[in-house]
Amino acid sequence: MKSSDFKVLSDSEIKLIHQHSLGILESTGIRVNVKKMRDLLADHGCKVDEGSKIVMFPADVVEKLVGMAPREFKVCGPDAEKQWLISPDARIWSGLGTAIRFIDAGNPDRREATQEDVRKHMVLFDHLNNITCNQMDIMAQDIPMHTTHVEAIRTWANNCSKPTGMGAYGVMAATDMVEMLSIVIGGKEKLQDNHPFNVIVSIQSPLSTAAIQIEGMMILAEHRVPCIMAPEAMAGTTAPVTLAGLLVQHNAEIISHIAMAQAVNPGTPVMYGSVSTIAEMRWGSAALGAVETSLLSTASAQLAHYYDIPCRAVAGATDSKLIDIQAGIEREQSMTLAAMGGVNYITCVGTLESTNLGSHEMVVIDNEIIGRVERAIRGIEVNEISLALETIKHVGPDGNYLMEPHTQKHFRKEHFMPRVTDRDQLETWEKGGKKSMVDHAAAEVEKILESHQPREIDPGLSKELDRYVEMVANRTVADFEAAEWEY
Amino acid sequence: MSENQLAKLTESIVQIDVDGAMEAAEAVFSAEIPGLDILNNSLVPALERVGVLFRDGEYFLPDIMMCVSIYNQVFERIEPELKKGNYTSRGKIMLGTVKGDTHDIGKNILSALLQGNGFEVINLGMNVSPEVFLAKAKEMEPDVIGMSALLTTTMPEMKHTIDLFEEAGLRDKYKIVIGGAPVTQDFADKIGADGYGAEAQSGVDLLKQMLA
Repeated sequence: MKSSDFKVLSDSEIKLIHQHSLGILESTGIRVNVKKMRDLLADHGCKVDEGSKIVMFPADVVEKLVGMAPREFKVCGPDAEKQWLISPDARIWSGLGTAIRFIDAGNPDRREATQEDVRKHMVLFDHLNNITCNQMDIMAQDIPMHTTHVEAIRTWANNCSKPTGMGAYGVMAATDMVEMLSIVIGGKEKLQDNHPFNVIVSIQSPLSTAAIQIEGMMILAEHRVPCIMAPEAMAGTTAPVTLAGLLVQHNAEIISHIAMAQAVNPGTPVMYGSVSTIAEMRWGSAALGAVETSLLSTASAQLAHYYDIPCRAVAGATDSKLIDIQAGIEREQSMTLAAMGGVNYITCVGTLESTNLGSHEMVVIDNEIIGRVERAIRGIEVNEISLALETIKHVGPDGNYLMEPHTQKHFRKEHFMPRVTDRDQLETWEKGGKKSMVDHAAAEVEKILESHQPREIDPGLSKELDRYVEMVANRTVADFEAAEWEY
Repeated sequence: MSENQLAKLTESIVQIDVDGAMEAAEAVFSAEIPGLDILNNSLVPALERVGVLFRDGEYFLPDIMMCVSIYNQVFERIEPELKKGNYTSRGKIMLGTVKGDTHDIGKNILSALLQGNGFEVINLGMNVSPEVFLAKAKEMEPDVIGMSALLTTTMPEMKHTIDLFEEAGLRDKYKIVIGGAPVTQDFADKIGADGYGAEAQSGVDLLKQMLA
């Protein structure tokens, strides 16, 4: 059978949290920092106080709008025919984070992330079989900041056949995203049904909104770009210290944002997102690698599935600054629990230092951890073939199974076959230079970067993207600020 | 035409497609392609490619075992013809697990890899006493004798065997190499073995070097 699930809430506890979230939305409300969105919500029957920008959501309005979100949808690569399912019953693994610095194997010093790292990252993602989406995981520091989003999309389109995404960074940037995506996919109308891009809508906890995120979401949802509603509520600072209290608030935040996206464009694909965690009580900072993150991620999956929509949660994030045992413990535990907890879109592959630090070696190691986790979840298959009775009889006492066709036929599927885990005999290991898993991963990174053939892009499209990037490069930061809507 | 048929056989062996390989082999036989051609232009290149895949971590022991099993089935068919001509193998290797030891996974892996590399292998099996090693050596006249042990308690049998060859005045007639999990280069030097392989692949490399 398939391995058993991991659950942290009972059915009645899920309903209780849902009811209390509705109560909070109705009585306390959410501060919505964009006038256009407040007007839209008022049209849908919400009570708006323009002075405080607080919007009270009647329960029936929330339930009606949330009910419009589709159960599942497919994301695709730059070529729309290559697709992956996002659904409460499926699971894919993704990057994410905003690594501004990088750490390389064998060098404890960190350095600034570059656009070349973004390219390498895209190539690795394209190659590695357990990882699907990238999510503008790296903030290159060697290009003007106002071109980061367009440079990332160009690099993706030129190098990666899998889906991408990024944050909703205000009116002008979100418009650029739509324009560039329609160049890649062949027209804006095609974006309605093909989803090469997921947008992360960061929620400002407690019970508020980030204006640029709402603007970006409004523009992208108009084109039915899947929106991931993602609070990073921290138990003890931006949320109640108790996890149940955090969940009431975080659930209210997420379902109100889902309601907003549906108000913009009914049927827009969404994910119930969670980056929520506990606050580190010495500093008040987020502790992404904490075990409680896994509890909140699993609770989020349960709540998402109660609404019959897919869940995105963070796992594999660590607070360690090194590729060390802490990084290993925190990522392996959170990845295992997120998968067993039913999270459908698991992010933050390849990151360290609370997702601020990137590592190409970590991406390769995470691909391997995911393989282990997926194997654990697959459980033990029991059927006529796997029971191997004929083979047991054939080999008999004191025999050996290594030469059996049954062995050759099934070992690759039955055993997870690691690529960078070291299982060499001692002397072989010594002769091979006493390499660690990180050394093996560094060699694997090099091998992939040397041998991988990235997708072929139509040269005409490529030029069109170049022209768009050049146009954005000629803007100033002030141009972006001027484009913002009324708050 | 014959090139295509040989390429098909090569490809089926590399892809571990047993049925496909047997079909391709039948086609090759009925086309009356000379045995030496089959060996040099299909079987050997196939196993060389499989060896590379193994070294690069793409292929694993069960894959090698199956490929070698296909190789052996085809080789048996062409062997009589080869022996009529002037074909010689890379060398004749006699393998056995020492007295008191009934572990032979490692030795069988080595045996398969050696066959895959063009050696002729005589496998004496497990629990082979010094006397049997000596008698079989006289009878079969191998170039190299390989002994394996998995237990530290049976390792001394390796020395006993070498000593017996010494007493019989035949020590210099054969190269004697040893292997097995507890065995080390130090131990090999101490008992006067000619060589030592830490695992199967280095055993193959050792013998290639020795018989070059």
